[in-house]
Amino acid sequence: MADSDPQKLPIERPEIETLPYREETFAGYALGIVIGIVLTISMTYAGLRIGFTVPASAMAAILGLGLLRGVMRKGSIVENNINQTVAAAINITCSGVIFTVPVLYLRGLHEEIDLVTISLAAIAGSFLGTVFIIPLRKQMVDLERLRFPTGYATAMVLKAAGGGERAIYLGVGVVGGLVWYGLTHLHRISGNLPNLSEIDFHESLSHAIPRYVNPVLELSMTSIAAGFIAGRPALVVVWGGLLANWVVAPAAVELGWVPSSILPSGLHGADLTAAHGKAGTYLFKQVSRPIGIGMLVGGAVTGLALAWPMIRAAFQSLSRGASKGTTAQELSPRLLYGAAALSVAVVSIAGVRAGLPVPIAVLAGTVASLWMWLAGVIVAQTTGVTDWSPISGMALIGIALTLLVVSQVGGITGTPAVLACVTMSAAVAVAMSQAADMMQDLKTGHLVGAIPRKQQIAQLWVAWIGPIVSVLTLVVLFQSAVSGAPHMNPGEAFAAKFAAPQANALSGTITTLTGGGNEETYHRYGIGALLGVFLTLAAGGGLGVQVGLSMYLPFATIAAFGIGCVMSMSFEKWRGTKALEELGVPIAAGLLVGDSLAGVADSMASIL
Amino acid sequence: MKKILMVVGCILGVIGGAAPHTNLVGPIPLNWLLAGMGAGILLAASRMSGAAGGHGGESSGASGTATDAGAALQHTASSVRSILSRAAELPIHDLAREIDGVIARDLMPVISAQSELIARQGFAKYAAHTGPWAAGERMLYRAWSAATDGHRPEAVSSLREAITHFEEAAREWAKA
Repeated sequence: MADSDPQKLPIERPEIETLPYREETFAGYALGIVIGIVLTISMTYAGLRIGFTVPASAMAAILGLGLLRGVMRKGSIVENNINQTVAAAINITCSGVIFTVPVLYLRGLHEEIDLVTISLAAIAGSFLGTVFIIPLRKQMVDLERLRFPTGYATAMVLKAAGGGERAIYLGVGVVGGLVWYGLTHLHRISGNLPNLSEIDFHESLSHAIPRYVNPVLELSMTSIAAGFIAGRPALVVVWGGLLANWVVAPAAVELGWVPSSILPSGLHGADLTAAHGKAGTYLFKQVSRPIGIGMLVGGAVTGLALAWPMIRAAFQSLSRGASKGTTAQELSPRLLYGAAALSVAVVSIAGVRAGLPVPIAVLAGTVASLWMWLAGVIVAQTTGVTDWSPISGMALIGIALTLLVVSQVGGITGTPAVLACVTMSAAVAVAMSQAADMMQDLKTGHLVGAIPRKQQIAQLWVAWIGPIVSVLTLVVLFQSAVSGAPHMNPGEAFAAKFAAPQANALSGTITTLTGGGNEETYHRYGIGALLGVFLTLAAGGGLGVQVGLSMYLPFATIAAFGIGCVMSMSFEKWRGTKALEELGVPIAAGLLVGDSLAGVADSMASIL
Repeated sequence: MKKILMVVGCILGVIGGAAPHTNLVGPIPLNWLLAGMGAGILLAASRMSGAAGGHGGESSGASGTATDAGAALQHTASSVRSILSRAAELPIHDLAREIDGVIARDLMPVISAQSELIARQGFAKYAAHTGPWAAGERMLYRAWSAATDGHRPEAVSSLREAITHFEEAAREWAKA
């Protein structure tokens, strides 16, 4: 090849002819399990404090590169892929646990919590999320070819084993990501240092832009780099953010649709600015988010219907593969039917153990299982396009559906209803996070030539570990919060130490729902779903989900993602598609990896 | 025109969503009236021809053509066969480089024409050739990984398997 070839600087390895090609190995599993457990503990803590978690894939891939290939000197790229699959499968479940289970602590129900039932429900969710999504691999990875930015970046790390210029660009990006993270967190070291984590255009433009349009840009490298990797196809995501904040918000304020308790008339100066800020928060949480969630659901259901010919072809192909016996590259789609039955059974048992009568538990379990599958598809799809997973929003719908069944059909209210529904929601939330992670890992595997079946089996083997570690960590953190504040009641002590933003939001929703619900919110879910259906019909699939997601997420995050998309398009126009793929995307992947590595280190440091 | 209708329909519908359900226009709640009008405009847009984009795949914005994709798709099996015929003699890292060359030359045109292929052929026909093609693509990546790891037997068997899939994809393409 010519000197200009991107692979001109390979890391040469001696040829191995006699041994089988290493893929499923003890070393790969063991390393993944250790990394997964350590990161689950860290992320459970960090997630409760700050509200988000960082995927383990890139961290595991880099450690695998050093240990499996560097130290052991015999690891292969696909073996390292199993390592990152295992680590991520364990770690990812903590987001499902911390978004739901702390609700019970926050509501002072710590004495009623049945940890065995909750752990079993979370473990069941972990298995089922994986099994439910496996049959859609062909659809999302092979046919729709969704980008999965983190999966793509992880594949870049795995492929760095081959050296070449792309590995160098990746390394440059990683260093850049680490530096960027440090710069944007300087203010945490000292209050005298500038806060570079976001730009507030309301302040910097002398209040020229009203606060209710949320004119803040988050300088998160994860969002910018994910936008760059996703590129032009994902730019449409910005549209929903602009629509929500720059069209709907001014219209709602001007037309007097913001309640006067939030935005009274006749205010001036600082009072008006403060009220505009509250109006912005109201419009985001009470208007944009419910419409966005509705759009996600309507768009996803219609997208599935439109893509049915492709899905059917993918299932037929899987069935043909399964009939070939041991040569099959995928697990059999028949697993799906077994999993569906098992899902209803396990979630129903969780409901019975939480105090529901059997018929109501079975009905709620069936509804929760159906939602688990649909929400898993939605979350996997949004992760594929943008890297974001609206797990908390989907968990919120899940709890609303189960509460509806339990209270309206079963006539059960109060603590038993909350206990049962939160337990079922834990299963649903863990299933969603596991579904998105499985698909992300399968994308990584596709790009390095892994056998999907081996990844799917690896994910299933370790699916039980994460929920147990996460629930145990949560219990220890609760006990430490309680013992650290003996003068407070346990629920308050936990709330004082941990912000637990998603769990707090979920708890607030439960309060609203058990108090009769907010009729305005139901209308917005419905209108969002209607628009999601027709937007998807008009665009031919996917658009309803993307616009819904961008209405659901804060504009500060969406804007950073959009900047990444625009940078990618500009780079492609400037240097061409080849340079984008061989120079721009590897650097962006490195930036994403560097930022997430710093995030992981930061979380671990906060524990110590 | 289609895109304009979609933007207008979306704005109208979402503004409707922001309206309180207690605001009425005659007997009809304003929020559902506006949302219904927005949905109607979107329905009209859905009946118009022309791509609106938005499926979010790797190539939605790229400008690859179906003709280029077809040529590349039918050529890939022979490119891989050519490498396979020399795989026993090539130094292992040259083998990895050659595979990398096929990935860049023969796979990219197919990936970048994804949107156009779906629009032209419909989902079912697209899936018929892209399913086996993607399986071949993955085996080609596996061959690259194995060669990079210095494992010639796995690289060779992966190349063989990739050819089978690419040939099936070419047959399905001919039917489409």
